Order: sequence, then C-alpha cells, then structure tokens
Amino acid sequence: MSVEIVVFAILALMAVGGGFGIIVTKNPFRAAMWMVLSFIGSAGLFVMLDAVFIAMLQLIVYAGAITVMIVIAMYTMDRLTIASLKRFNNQAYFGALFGIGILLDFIVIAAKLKINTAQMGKNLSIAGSNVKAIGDVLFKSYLLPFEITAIVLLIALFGAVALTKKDL
Amino acid sequence: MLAAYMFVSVLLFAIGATGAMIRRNFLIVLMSLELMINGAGMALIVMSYFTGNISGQVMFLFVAAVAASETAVGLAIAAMMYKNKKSVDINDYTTLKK
Amino acid sequence: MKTLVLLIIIWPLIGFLINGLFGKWTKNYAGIIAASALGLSFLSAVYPIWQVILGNIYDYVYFTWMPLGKFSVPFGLRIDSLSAVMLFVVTFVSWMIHIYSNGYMKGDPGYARYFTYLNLFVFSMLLLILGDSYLLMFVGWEGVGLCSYLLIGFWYDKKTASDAGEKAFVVNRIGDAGFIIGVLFILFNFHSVTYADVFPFVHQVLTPETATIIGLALFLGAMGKSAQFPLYIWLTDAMEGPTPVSSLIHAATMVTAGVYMVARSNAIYDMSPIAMEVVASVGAFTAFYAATMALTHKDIKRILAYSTLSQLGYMFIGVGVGVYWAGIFHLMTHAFFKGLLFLGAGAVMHSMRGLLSTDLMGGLKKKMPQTAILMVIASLAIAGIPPFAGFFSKDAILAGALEMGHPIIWIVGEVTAFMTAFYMFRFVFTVFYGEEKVPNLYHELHVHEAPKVMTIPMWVLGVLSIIGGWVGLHVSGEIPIEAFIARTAPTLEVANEAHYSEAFLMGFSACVGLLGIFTAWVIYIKKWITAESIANTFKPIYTLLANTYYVDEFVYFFIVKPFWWVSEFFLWKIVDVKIIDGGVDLFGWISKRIGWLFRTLQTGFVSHYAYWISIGVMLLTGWYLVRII
Repeated sequence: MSVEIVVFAILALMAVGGGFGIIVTKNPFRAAMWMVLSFIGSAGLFVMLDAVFIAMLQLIVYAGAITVMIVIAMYTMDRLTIASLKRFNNQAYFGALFGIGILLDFIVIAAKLKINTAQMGKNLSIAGSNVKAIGDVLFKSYLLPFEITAIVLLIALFGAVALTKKDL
Repeated sequence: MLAAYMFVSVLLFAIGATGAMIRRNFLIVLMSLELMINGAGMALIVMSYFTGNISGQVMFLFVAAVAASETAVGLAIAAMMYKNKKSVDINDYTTLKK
Repeated sequence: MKTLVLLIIIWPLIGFLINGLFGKWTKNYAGIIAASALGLSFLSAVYPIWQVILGNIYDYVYFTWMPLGKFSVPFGLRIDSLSAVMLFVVTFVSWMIHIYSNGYMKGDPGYARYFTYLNLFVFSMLLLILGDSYLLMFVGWEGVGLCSYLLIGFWYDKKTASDAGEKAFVVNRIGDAGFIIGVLFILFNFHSVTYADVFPFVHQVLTPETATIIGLALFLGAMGKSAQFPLYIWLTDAMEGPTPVSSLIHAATMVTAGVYMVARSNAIYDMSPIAMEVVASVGAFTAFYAATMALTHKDIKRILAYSTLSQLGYMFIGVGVGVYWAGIFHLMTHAFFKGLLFLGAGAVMHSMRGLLSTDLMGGLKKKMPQTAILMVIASLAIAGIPPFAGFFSKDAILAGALEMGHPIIWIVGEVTAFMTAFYMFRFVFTVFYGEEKVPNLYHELHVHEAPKVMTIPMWVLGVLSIIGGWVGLHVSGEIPIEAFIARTAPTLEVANEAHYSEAFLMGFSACVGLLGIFTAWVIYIKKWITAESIANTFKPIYTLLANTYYVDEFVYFFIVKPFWWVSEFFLWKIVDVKIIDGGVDLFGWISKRIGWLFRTLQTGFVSHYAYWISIGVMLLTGWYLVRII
C-alpha cells in the first residue's frame, strides 16, 4: 500500500511540476520539455488507474505527436524573436488570482462529490485486455460520436491548411 | 485516494488555466491549453476507475481528438501570426477590439 | 357563371399585365391589346347584366382575402341592379374610349404606358363597383385614384401636368381619409364590412346619430372623389391629362364613384335626414356654383370640366333627396353625353394641334362636319331638350327634389339648367359656327376631320346620348329604370309626398333649356347683344367668374401658405429639429455613454478575455456550490 502511495506521489509530482514548469519558464523549447515531463507523469497515473491503453495513447499522441508539432512550429520561427519575449502579461497577478480561484472552486466541488465506489477498479477489461474493453464500448455505444470526431479532425485539417495558405 | 487523484487533476487544470491567462508567448499559451485538456481528461480516467465504468476512458479518446484538432488549428494560427508580424506575442494582436 | 363574373375584371388585368410588363415590345399593338381586353370584358358582362335584368342577383365569394380572427373579409363580387348599371356604363364607355384612344394617342412616346394605366384604371373601377364589401370598394377607390394621378401627370415632363397630378392626389387624400373613417365606423358597429352583413341590419344596429356620422364621413370621401365643393379644385386642373382620360376618368366613370357609393349606402343614408340634407345641399350648391364659372371660361376643356362638376352636383341632388334611381340614371346618361363632349373636344384639339381657346376657333363646322353634329347632339342632351338622354334624367332628379319637399333645390336646379344650356351652346356656337376668327390658321394647321377610329366611338356614344334616356319613359304605368334600380336602392319613403303635374314639370324644364339655347343664339350668332357689352356692364361679376371666384388664390393664401409656414417654422425648425432630432440624439447619447462603459472592457488583449471567461467559470461554479451546500 505504501509503495503505491510513494509511486503516486512521484508521478503526481512529475505531472504537476511539469505543468508548473510550462507556465514559468521563459524559453518555449524548455516549456515543451516540461510538458513532456508532465504528460509522462500523467501517463504513469493512468497506468495506476488501470487505463493502460489510454496511457499509451497519452504518450504517443501528447508526449509524442503534439509536442513534436509544437517544437517543429517553433523551429520555423526566429529563435531570438521568440525567446526575447517578456514572460508575463502586465496584469499577470490577476490571472494568477483567477487561477487560484478556479482551483479552490474546483477543489470544493471535487470534495463535495459523492461517488459510489462499490464498483471500483472493475469492468475495465475484458479477458484481461483493456483495449478490447474500450473497443467494445467505443464501436457499440459511441459509434456516432466516433464518426463525428472523424469529421471534426477532418475539418480541423482543412482549417489548418486554409489558414496557412499564402493567398487567403 | 479518490481525493488525491482528483486534486492532481484539478491542479493540472488550474495551472493550465493560469498559464493561458498570464503568459504572452502564444506557443506557451497553446501548451497551457494542452495542460488544461489533460487535466480534464485525467478527471475522466479517475472517475472511470473509481466508478468502474469504462465509458470515461472512451470519452478520453474524444477529448484527445479535440485536443489534437485544437493544436493543429492553433499552430496554424501561430504560423500566420508569425508570418504577418514576425511576432507570437499575443499582446501585439489586439484586433479583437476593432 | 362564377368564372364569367370573375372574367369581367380579369380581362383588363391581363391587358394591364401584358402592356405593363412587355410594353417595350407591344408598342404599336398596345392599343389594340387594351381595346380588345375591354371588348372581352364588356362581352363577359353582357350575359350577367341580362340575367340581373331578368331578376337574378349574383354574389360570389372567391376566397377569404383577410382572415383576421373573429372578423374576415372575403374577396367577393356582387352584381345587383345598381352595380349592373355601373358595370354597363364602365365597360361600354371604357371600351369606346379605348378605341378612340387608339387614334388620339397615335405616335405618343408613352403609347404602351398610356394603355397600361388605362387598363389598370378599368380594373380598379370594376373592383370598386363589383366588390361586395366596403374594403374591396376602398381598394378600387384607391386604385382609380392612383390611375387618375398617373394619367393626369401622364406628360410628366410638363410642370403643370405633374403639379396637377399631385394636386389631385393630395385633395383626394382628404376625401379618402373621410372614407376610411366611415368604413372604420361601419366595422366598429357591424363587425363586418360586407354589404350583405351591413345593410339588412342597419335599423337594428345604428342610431340616427351614428348613421349621420357614418354618412357624413363617407360623403367626405365622395366629395373628394366626385369633386364636390370645396374639394372640387383638382378636377379642373386634371384637364392637363390626355383628353380621352378626361373623358373616361374625369367625366364618365371615376368621378361618379362617389355617387355610386352614396347610392350603394342608401340604407345608411335613409336613416339620417341630416346626412341626406348635406348631400343634397352640397350637390345643389356645386351644381350652381360650377355652372356660373363655366359661363365665362374660354378654354374648351375647362368649360367641360366645370360642366362635369355641375352635373355631378345634379347627381348628388338626386341621391341626396332620396331618389337614388334618378341619380344613377343621370350618372348613366351623363357618362354617354359628357364622354361624347370630351371626345369631341379631343377631336377638335387633335386637329387644332392642342390649341384650346375658343378665341382661336369658329366656323369649324365646315372643316369637321361629323364632330360638329355630334357635339350639337351631346349639347342638346346636356341642356335637357327632349327627346335627348339628359332631359329624362335631369327632369327625374328635379321632379324628385320637388316631390321630396325641397323646392329651393328645385329652383336652384332649374336656374342651373338654364345656365347649362347657355354655356353649352355658347361653346358650340363659338367653336363650330360663325366665321373663322384667325384668318388662315386652319389652313396652316391643316385642320381636318378626325380619323374613323375616333369618329366611330363618338357616333356610338352619340346614338346612346339620344336613346339612352328612353329607359326613363313611362311604360305601362312604371318607369323601367326606376323599377330596376329601386330593387337595390329603393327610393326614400316620405310621409307626405308632394305631387305636381308631371307634364307641367317636363314642359317647364324643356322651356328652360330652350330659353338658355335661345339666349346663347341671340348673343353669339345674331350678336344682338354682344358678349363684351354684357361683360362690361357686370364687370365685377365677370372678373370674379373669369378668375373662378379666386378659389385657387384663396386656397393658396389661406391654406397652402400657412401650411408651409407652419411646416417650416414650427414643424421643421422646432418639432423636427429640436424635439424629434433632439430625442433621437438623446437616445444616441445615452447609448454612447452605456457603450463607453462596455467599450472600455474591450481592450483587445486576448488574456483579458481569458480573465472574463475565468470569472464566468467561477461565477457558474460558485452558483453550483451555493446550490449544493
């Protein structure tokens, strides 16, 4: 039991510390590295929560693809222009204040939640396979949202191409 | 344990929101948004585990898809911003006023 | 039958649409298309009219025009004996004048436009007389007003013409306001505007007071449309339009709409002696007043215009004293002979290249023999010489006035009849008889008889001007036209009807007419007394009449000028600029202030918008927290 708590503490620290790193570093490239750290921490937490497939997805999509995309976008820009920016807004303390406000709000709500934990840790896999369980639900109960998600991605693709086209 | 997991999730969301509000670099704002989405997604996974309902994990797939779309469009916007003004400082873009 | 009745009004509409939409291509055929549309309309009307004479009444509802909750207005057409007479007059006379216009308007650049308006006019007029509700009548009423405006200002590049059109429109609007008020009163009292829902229940619903209000309001509309004193001022200026228009609209059909409307509303007027007294008095006054002005005028179209006013006055006497059939009868005969007089004047104008003054004419009989004969026929008809049409109808009105107990109106009518005979023959003698006044003018202008396409309609109307009145003869104890019209518009019942020898009255009327002609003959043919010497003897009266009582000047100084003054110095500079503009500016100022408050929130910085979003999130979650705690 105590091992689990220690592992949880380390992973949670990675996730939160990485997140904190993103918002305080000046250099965006380093921020991207902090983000990778944060995502790896989250993936570890997902493994602890019996979401192995999602953890892999997290690593591939977030820590891999999205970070690479952002870093490549950064490479197309002048390093000095990006790095020499001032770090925070003029009224950054307002933002920090609101952030803390949201945090407190959500903590209170989360504390008020009443969850029935009788089924805790069950039903998350079919014959030991988490992927099978997700596929079963995804293609039976959530087929239409899945198709719509495909359309959303397609439109996002169009949008990205259209935005960066030269004469538009 | 539920409270601890939820705390991590909420903390990630709040840090992301704070970052989106206070940073000037558009790329970092995008990363902060990713963080917020990740926090929300983590809440889904946590609830999925503690209620024993796999729908939460399926929902995370959709959230991930939306996050990917958002990043793609966001980066396209960043590229255009850089092309137009040689700057990704969001405070250089105050055209919402007009 | 239902379709046939609808076709009567559809034909002119088709003609209007063809010429209106494709006028560019129908250019030279526009007149033929319009005239055939009218011919078809007349032919469609013949059978229904015959059926009505045999005793049927048609009232067809085609669709619900305005469904408005509890009350709805149907689109229905009604042919009874009253509208049958009007239907015959309108379709037939319009048809004749359409044919005549083919010759008269030849070569005019607005040829197709002219026939478009003319067909639209006939459509509106038919709607006015056939519609089975006051609201449908009002549609036609406004439609003919519009066409009248368009046709008066037909030569719109001429300043006087477009001004005259505007004048007609504005003056008519005063009357129309009265008409609307009347219709609203009817709607308020009866909760319906269809004739079938109104007339049978007049005695149950109306008190004499409300009947008086409705009657006077409706009569205000009639005064505007039928040019009664003091709203007559537009009609003389309306002569700026093409002459066939003056003939059709401003003599034969449109201006009689008011008479038709009063006759149609006979049930309402019968309840209100005051309203009837007003109608008859205004009619009598207008008849006399307009005749005096016709005495001195030298413009041939204006003489006819004043004569029209005077004759309309007679019709209002007829409907005002309660002998509705006589008013409508005179309306019919008047349509024939006044239409003919205007067409004759048009023929003279046509060959005189638009010259109008009697000073330039004389001895035209030699150049235009057919026109001269026709004009004499029409003048005899209007002067009330038996057996011409005007004699019977005018005599019916005056005898009716006397029998209904209005001796003063009878005297006024007889005096007017004398003046009518005089000025009409003054017109005929100075234009067609005597010597050529300006040597070689006719030769220069190549004065010639009008072409056949113009003379044939004139002959048709000429024949009707002779025989049209014979329906007013006694046949086996009753007068056919009286019996026919009285089915729909029964003559007012009077307690102690006065009786006079009919032969005496007829003889007297005829003598008055002959006396008028004789006077004109003495002055203008024999020249025993010259017109100049009379004018010099009664100089002030002559000047007053020649200037038409200075009414236009009076209106200008006492109505138009103050109106301008009030408009400029009160309505514009105070009400408009200070109050209305100021009020608008105040709202602008207020919203600018409020806008300033919100505008300062719009910094344009993306992070500031994020702040607002997070505040929103906190408010929503905070509200949720308050709920669950």
